[in-house]
Amino acid sequence: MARPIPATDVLLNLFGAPHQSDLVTSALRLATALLDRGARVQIWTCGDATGLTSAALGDTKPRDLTDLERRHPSTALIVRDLLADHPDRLYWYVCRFCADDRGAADQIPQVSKRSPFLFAEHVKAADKALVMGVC
Amino acid sequence: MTDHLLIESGGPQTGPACERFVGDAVRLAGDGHRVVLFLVENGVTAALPGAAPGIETFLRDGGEVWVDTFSAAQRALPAADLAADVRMVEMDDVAAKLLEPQVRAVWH
Amino acid sequence: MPGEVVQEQARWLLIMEKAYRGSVETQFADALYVVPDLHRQSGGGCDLALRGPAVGYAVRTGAPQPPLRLGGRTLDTLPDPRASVTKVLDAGVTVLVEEPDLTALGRTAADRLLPGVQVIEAYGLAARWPSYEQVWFL
Repeated sequence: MARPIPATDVLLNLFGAPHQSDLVTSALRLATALLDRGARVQIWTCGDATGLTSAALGDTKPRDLTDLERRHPSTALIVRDLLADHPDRLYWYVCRFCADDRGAADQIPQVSKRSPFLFAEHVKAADKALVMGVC
Repeated sequence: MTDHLLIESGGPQTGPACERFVGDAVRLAGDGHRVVLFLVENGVTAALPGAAPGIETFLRDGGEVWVDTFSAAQRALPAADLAADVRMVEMDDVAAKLLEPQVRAVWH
Repeated sequence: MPGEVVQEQARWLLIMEKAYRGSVETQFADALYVVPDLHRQSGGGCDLALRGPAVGYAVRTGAPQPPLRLGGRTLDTLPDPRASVTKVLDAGVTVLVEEPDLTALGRTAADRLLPGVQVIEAYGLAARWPSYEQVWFL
């Protein structure tokens, strides 16, 4: 039985691919600004954006060979920490079909994989829904 | 009449795609709707004078052009170099607009 | 098992302008694939607009989709956008194109438009945005 979807102010559908533009940065900036204003936010990822929370990323990016001591957080860690910062107001969903299709089936436990058949339910649970980027 | 927040992230380098979306903003403003066109990421280059011709028509028809301060700074675009009638904003301003109940938003 | 359809009909405008996004890696799962189900999920409320290069999805090619040989493999499961648009139309989705995009695709494009696709004037789409709950570039 599907878990109930919390009511939210905004659903940000992150469909565009990472590493192609500043889309992911914009989505995270907008989410942060909304959360700072007390809003409740869902994020739903599709396509290659499902890889942002892949368990395979671990906590850190590969080392900077020119600065070995410095650690750089992975997107998986950044998202995990953002969720921990807002435990009752931020919800992160990953399209199950896209995650499987793009080799990101193994996700961090803090996000929820959802069937694309349930997408409209997430739209209905939010006052506003943006689709950011294309798969 | 309705309130719209249109968000352009690609900018003039995307050619017809940006031009069409700015044209959509022009059409909405021309039809009398209240429209904010928020330029973010590479979209901020549309705020350079003459870079996106539809912007002037949009402003003339009562539209508002907002430019993301963060994106402009990343791209070494000082406000003084941008078109005179644009407004530099923070993401907090965009969040506030998006949360206004009557505002409909479209990301491009 | 599919999720429940929303009780009241939503009004969603889906706009596609980025086209041909990876024939080999996408195969059946192109952007058009999800449209019939989004239409079902919205309670029958989706309209699809094909803009820019994507307008070609609604124009007959006059030849079957050729398979692709890659080494010893013949890949015959490449996307077939015209078949996909036909499925979208059969699902009851209204499919719209703007006239300038047809013109830009060549002198015979308008004559080869798939039956059922509606042509509207330039920027006629934006005039309709206020009538939709959601306007998404997909």
